[in-house]
This record gives sequence, structure tokens and C-alpha cells, in this order.
Amino acid sequence: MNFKRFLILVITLTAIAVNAFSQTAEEVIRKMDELQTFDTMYSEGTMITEDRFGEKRSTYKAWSRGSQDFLIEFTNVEERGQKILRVDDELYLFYPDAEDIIPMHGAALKQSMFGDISYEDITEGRNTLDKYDVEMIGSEIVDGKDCWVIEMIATSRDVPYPKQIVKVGKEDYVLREAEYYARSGRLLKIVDVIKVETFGDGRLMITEMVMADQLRRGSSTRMRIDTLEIDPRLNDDLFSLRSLY
Amino acid sequence: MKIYKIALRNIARNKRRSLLSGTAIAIAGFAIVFLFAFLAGMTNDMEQNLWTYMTGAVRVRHSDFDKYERLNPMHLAVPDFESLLDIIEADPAVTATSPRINFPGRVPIGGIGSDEKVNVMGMGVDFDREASYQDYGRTLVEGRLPEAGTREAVVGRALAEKLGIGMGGKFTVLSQSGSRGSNAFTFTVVGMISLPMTGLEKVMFQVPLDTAQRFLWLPEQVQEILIKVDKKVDSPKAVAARLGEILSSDVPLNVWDYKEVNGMAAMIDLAVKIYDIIGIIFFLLASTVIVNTTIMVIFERMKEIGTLGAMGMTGRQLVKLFFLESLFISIVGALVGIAIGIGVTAYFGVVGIDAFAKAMEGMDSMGIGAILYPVLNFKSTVMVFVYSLVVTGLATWWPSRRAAKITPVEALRHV
Repeated sequence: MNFKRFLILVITLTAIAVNAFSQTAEEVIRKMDELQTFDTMYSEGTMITEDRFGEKRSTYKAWSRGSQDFLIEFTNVEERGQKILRVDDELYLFYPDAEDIIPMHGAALKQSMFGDISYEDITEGRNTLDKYDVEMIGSEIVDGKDCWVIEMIATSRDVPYPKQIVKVGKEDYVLREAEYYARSGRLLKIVDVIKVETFGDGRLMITEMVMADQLRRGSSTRMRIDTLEIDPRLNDDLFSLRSLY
Repeated sequence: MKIYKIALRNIARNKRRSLLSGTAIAIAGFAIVFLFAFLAGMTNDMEQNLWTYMTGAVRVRHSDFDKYERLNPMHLAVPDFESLLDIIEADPAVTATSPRINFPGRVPIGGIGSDEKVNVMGMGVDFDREASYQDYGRTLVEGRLPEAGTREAVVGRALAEKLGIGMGGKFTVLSQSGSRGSNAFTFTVVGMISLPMTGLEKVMFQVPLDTAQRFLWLPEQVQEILIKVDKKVDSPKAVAARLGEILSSDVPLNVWDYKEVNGMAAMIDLAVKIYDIIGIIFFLLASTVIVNTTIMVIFERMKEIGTLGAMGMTGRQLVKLFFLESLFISIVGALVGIAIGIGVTAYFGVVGIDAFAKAMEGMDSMGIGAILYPVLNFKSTVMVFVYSLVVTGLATWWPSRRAAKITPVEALRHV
């Protein structure tokens, strides 16, 4: 190989590498979203908050359709029958002893839904690339898994966190860790993925994760999926206000 | 002739001068009576409102609730409160008790498409017991009190206006619960209350205690027990200390008197002292009029002083003469001023003064009501009379001594 051909090869490979690297961040996020999105899904799970006051445990049933619509119904004694519905980008709360359905908008979404999880944490849906500019900023080993480290900067104000840093497994495109930041750069929340399981057609699904609100000292909330059914048949009107009553 | 007779004759001889001095003292007396009554009314009001709606004279709570109050830890409640009430009510100084649950909440308004929510403060009370704690005879302005076990509520009239609901109307409250989750309940308005504190009336509604316990997942528990005491029997501090020793529960308790609970309440004592000083300064200012009048009188009456001296009246007798003249004027002036003060204060004590209603709106945390009712007491009547005499007496003393030092020769120079 003469020097000229060698130079062309180096330049070409560099261009391909740079291009591939810049595409990778978007690709990774797109793949990560795809893997965690199902046509329909039914799950039963447990949420456990631990803070200075001790442990608080709630159980729930949840139905979801695509990346946007979901319905959660609490099944533990204290909150039995309480429901949270997300449909058409709106969030509604239903309480068995209330005659009105309570819509949640704006600042109210920042309130805690359960421990460290706020209502806005569950409103984000997927379609991450529609709302964030993503950039690959490096690699890191998280719990023995080689991960891409991707910085996501919000392109609109309609997101709960203006900046996120996510760590996604290079092999499986599964989220392993995430950090959520305020506009000021202050770290607000950390998500640690604890358990990933294989379901149905071999797809991987996060079944246990811990979210820690950094503004709530010594507090963390564990979410665990105990039962999962992928692509069940769901009634058409399940994700409607009518279904809440 | 006795000196006091000469003094009385001198007062009668120059009516305009005497009237001027007497009026100055009367105005000062009236103003001080009213000022002290107004301040007494304000401190009384603060105390009553704090005791009734916020702190009680003594308050019993889960000690960790106080520690983490800013986090609204609804689950840190007091269990088995009925047996605590038995012990509390056996105390001879205790006049009334109120086991209750306060719960901040939000009421959505404007329908499903609206994100508007009104902040409210709910209070779960046992209405049978509460009737002897809160003055519903005065505050319940429409309807009736809710019945136990129902989802009925009495609502602050100003809150009802904010929510746009009337009698029979419904509102849904979203609140944090004792299970450390949230819950929402719909209540029906069966009564309207008008509270002395405007800010409180804008947020407060009251519901039956058992309903609040169910709504907030606090079975057989209350958040606090407020206690009113008869101060003539014992001070709130002493009652709190006594109850603190004998009350025991499965949870650690704080048994605090209202000054310990509310820093502003502790300021009441300081405020009273400051008000006293303001009163005295006010009176000293008024006394400068008396000093001035007396000095003028002495200069006007140089000829008379010289004549009296030449006739053999001693300096001591001259001092006594002028002192008695001023004293008699002071007594009459003070009595008239205090009588007018009592009359005006008694009138406003019934109808109240709402001129400061707007200014007082932000003073809720101090327990100051929007309408103030001046209160006459020993200090604002008898003590003001005594102050009047002492201050005017002292104010007269110096110029009177000046008169005594004038020699007949010097006095006759003014002829």
C-alpha cells in the first residue's frame, strides 16, 4: 500500500468513525426506546419508599398502550381503587371517595406521586429524540456492563428535566443508570436499574429500578414489576375517563 | 385661710386657664385609656385566636410531628387520644379540649380542563365537643354544623366565595394521608363560618373528626389535642409542665404551652411591656402641656406671688399652693378624660374597629383578627388615673418650686 492510498483509507475510516459515533447516540436512544415500548402491556408491581420515616409499600396493577397511554390502579389496602390515567398527554387522578376526577397540569406534576417519584416522572413517555438533543460523551462500566454515556439536552420546556445523562448497555441497549439535572445544573434524581429480565420474544425488560430524589435526603423509591404480560388484548375504552369510574 | 381653699379659689378665679390645663389632661387621659384598651383588646384577641385555632393554651402532639412539620408528616399522629383526654380533662385548670386533625389540601376548580387549584386547610373536629371550644354561636353565620360520620363540611365564607360554592354545594379536596399516600374526598357544604382572622377564613373548612380519620387513613388517631385553661387557676406553662409529666402514649409526645409553640405568642409579653412604655411616653408628652401651662401661670402671677410672699407666705406654702392647684385640675381633667375614654372604648368594645381590617390580613400567624375589640381593664382605667396624677404632680413640682424661690423684691419688680 502506497502512502497516498494509506492516507485515503485513514481519512475515510476517520470520517466513517466520526459519523458512526455521532449517529450512535441517536441510534442508541432510539433502540432503547423501541425495546421498552410495547403495543400493549399489563403488569403488576410493587413500589417501596424508604426514607427517614421508614418504609412505605404500595402495590399496583398497570395497563399501557404504546409509549403514551397508561392506567395504574393501586391495590394495597390504604390506596385501593385509586387510579392514575394518562391519555392524550394529560394526567388524571381518580379517588374512590371523590366525585370529581382531578386533572394534573403544570406545577402540580412536580408533586410526589409516590416517594421519590413525581407525577412528571411518569408522564414523559418515550419518543425521547423528539424532545432531546443527544450527544455521546463517553463510555463507562456500570455494574459490570459496558455502557455508552449519553448526554441529553432538552429542546423544549415540556420535559421534566432539562438535562439527563443516561448510561445504556452497549450489548443490549438497556438503560442501566440515569441522572436527571435541573436547568441550573443541579443533580435532581438518580435512577439505578437493578434487574433486567427477558420476556416473550426474547426482549429485555427492566423489572426493578431504584429512583433517589437528591433533594429528599436519605430517601429512595424502589419499583419492581412482579408480573408482566406483553401484548395482552385490552378494551378500547380502558384508557378513557369513563373507565375510571 | 387653708391653702387648699386658696388653691380652689384660684382655679375658679381664672376659669379659662384652668379649663385649658384640665382639657390637656383630659385629652391625654382619654387617649391613654383608649390606647391601652385597644392594645389590651389586640393582645386578648391574639391570645384567644391562637388558643382557639392554632396552638391552644397547651398543645399535645407527636413530638416528631413538630420536628418534621414542614414535611407535613400526617402519619405522625397521636393514637388512643380518648384516654389522654380523660387525663387532661381531670386537670382543674383545663376548661376545654379539642382533639383535631389539620390537613392542608388542594381543591381543583374550573372543571376537568382546568389546572386551577385552591389551597385549603381542613380541620377534622368532634363537633359535639368542639362547640364548647370554638364559639360557633358567633362564627357560624349560616346553616348548621356537620353531623358525625357524614361528608358534610362547614366552610369559611371567604373560602366558599373563592371556590364559587354556596350552601349545599360540593367540593373535592386532595390531601396527603396518614398512610403517606394521597387521598381525595368530596364534601357537601352545610354551614358557613366567619372567622376573626380573614386569612384563615379564606382557607379553612371543618369536617367531622371521624370522617377526617377515614379520609386521611388515621383510624382512632388525632394530629393534636388543643387545651384551653383558666389562667386564674393556673398558667398554661404550669399546666403544660404538669400534663407533660403524667401523659404517656405509645408515641413520644410534646406537651407545649402556646408560647413555646408559637414564637409570636411569646412576643405578646414583650409587646405588652412595649405598649406600656409607649403609653408612658405618650403621657409624658401630654405632661409637657401641663408644665408649660403651669410655668405660664407662674409668670403671669408674679405680682400675686410677690404680694403673698410680702404678706408672709413661706416658700413651702407657695409650692403647696401651686401644687394643689395643678393637682385639683389634674384630678378633674383625668376623671373627665377617663370617663370619656371608658364611654368610647365601651362603644367600640361592642361594635369593634374594622378600620385596620386590610392591614391585619397578613397578621394571621400572630393570631390578630381583622376586627379589633378594645377591652377595658384595671390598667386602662384605674392605673391611667393614677398615672395622670403622678405625672401631672411631677410636672407641676418643678415650676412650683421655681415660684417659691422668687423673692418679694424680685416679684414686685414685675408690678
